[in-house]
Amino acid sequence: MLKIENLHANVEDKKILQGINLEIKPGEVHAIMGPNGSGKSTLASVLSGKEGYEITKGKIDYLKKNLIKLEPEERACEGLFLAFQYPVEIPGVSGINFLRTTLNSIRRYKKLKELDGVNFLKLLREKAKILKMDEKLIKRSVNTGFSGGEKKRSEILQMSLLEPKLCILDETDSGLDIDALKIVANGVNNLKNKERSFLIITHYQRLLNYIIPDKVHVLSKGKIIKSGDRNLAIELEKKGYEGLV
Amino acid sequence: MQQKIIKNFEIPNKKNETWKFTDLKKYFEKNDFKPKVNYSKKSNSINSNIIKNIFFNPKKNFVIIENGVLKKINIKSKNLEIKSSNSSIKNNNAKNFIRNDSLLDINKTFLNEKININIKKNIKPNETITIFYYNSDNKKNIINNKINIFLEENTEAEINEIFFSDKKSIYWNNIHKYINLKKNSKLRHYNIQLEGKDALHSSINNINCDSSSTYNSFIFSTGANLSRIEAISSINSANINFNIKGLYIANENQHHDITTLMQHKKPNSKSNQHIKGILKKNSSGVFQGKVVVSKDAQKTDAFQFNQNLLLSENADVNSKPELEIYADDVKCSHGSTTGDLDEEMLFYLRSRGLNKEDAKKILIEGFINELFEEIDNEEIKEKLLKTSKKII
Repeated sequence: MLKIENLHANVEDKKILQGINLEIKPGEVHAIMGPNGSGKSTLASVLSGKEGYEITKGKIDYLKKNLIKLEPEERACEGLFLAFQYPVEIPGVSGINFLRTTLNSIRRYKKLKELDGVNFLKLLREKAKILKMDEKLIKRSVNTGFSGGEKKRSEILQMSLLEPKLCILDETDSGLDIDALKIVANGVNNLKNKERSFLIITHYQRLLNYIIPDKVHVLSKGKIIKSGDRNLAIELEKKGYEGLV
Repeated sequence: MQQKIIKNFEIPNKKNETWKFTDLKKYFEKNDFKPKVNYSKKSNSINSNIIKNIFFNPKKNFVIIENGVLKKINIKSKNLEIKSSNSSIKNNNAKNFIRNDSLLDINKTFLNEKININIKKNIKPNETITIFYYNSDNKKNIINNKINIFLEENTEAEINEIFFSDKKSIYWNNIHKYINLKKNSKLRHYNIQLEGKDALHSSINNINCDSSSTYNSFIFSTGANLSRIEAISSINSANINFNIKGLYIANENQHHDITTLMQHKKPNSKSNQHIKGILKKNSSGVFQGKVVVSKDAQKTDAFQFNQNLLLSENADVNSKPELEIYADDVKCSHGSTTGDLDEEMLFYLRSRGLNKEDAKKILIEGFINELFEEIDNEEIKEKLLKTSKKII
């Protein structure tokens, strides 16, 4: 599904990613852990196509396409989804209209029939229920005035609506209390299937108690310095990054 | 009577402190406008362009001023008084609205029509009152109208003003409105400026508020070559609730100016101003907002915010929010932002599968919607939204 080879990326001439190699197969759940400043969020941004990052070396192959050449919206339409660490508030843009517009934009791209208002609402209610999201919240402007936890839940709601092939979760656990964490993890686990892959970026191990990864990678100074199974995460939790980095 | 001519008046220009960013004289001279001389032309039929106007509703109270002259008054609600008048009403509050330019003098000297709208004590007409200012001639006239709006004690009303014209007409609308809100009265005021693209528009709204009155206004301005809308207000008593929301959308060659002066003279009142501008192509925009809180106006709560969206490199904005506070126990804030669409928001929408153009459109609509969310009148909201969408 995703194959990253020797990826180097800069932000304003500062070298952040310095040779990342990573392969995610369909249906796999990978976790990337690492201390602050190791390049975790930069990796997420580069994958989603955010401007301001210069890729100096390496390649990213996504579903046999050169990901680097695709616009952010093309990546989304091709099934890549980033759940943001800090989702932006967009006052004045109704959440429901936003969700329906994005879903239909992706459905158009896939040459599927657009959903009408009634069918869309039905689908939305179904998905919101799993995430225990209040309908009133969705009706408000996108993320506007949401608490940290509500924003994260809203990201996962979008994810479940858009049914992506590769889900990237950028520090989705940060700022969540334990109940919200469980709800979010449950939402993610509901989406798991044989085809869909996940890349979970996190600082702490605790989310991985609820979303069990197939592989865990440790990122330090822009490189993956160690990979292993979920036990690596547990080990990290005990020893801290100090022992490894 | 001494014959007065327009040349005796200094048209406001950059030399006036309050006209630093809007050179009305420059636009005036391009067309050599002359004050309109009234002549009587009686006809009862309503111009089809007015009937076709999306805001026109024959079932409601309305006033039509055509080419500067009163054409029709249609009153559906009882106890509502709308009259054309020649007599001058003594204005005891004139000192609240002293000016240092010639616009009011021009208006007074060359006055074409004066309309008084009076909402009698304890009356709450459930129908709105709409004033249509329609222009169809291209004689380069200066049209001077004065509208007095009086809300007596314990009244409530909604007044909508629509300025529009047929495409070709060239004129300068110079309008003075004097709004007087007595104790416990409440006015919703929609000021909708859709003048033709060759017109000049200058309107002065003087709003005088007595105790426990509420003024809610929405300024919507998309028309005219040059437009200056002023809201000059005086809070003369306590417990007043004053709100101005405003949006202008300036397109090719247009210049839009919204200027406000909020004078808090007595304690315990609230004012809130939120003005937004969208500028396209080589247009320009101005927001000047001044809040003055006098020494006696303790516990004042005054908020003022201006946001401008520059959608072109050739567009520019001058934003000048000012606070002048002489009381020490008040809550006041002001701010101003000008810029392109927010990059983070744009990326967020694109990362959800929307192409750049659609994402931009959604953000611009969102920028507008944030203001429109506060419009109570759903019908007006819908029509303004439709009108905005056509331009952006």
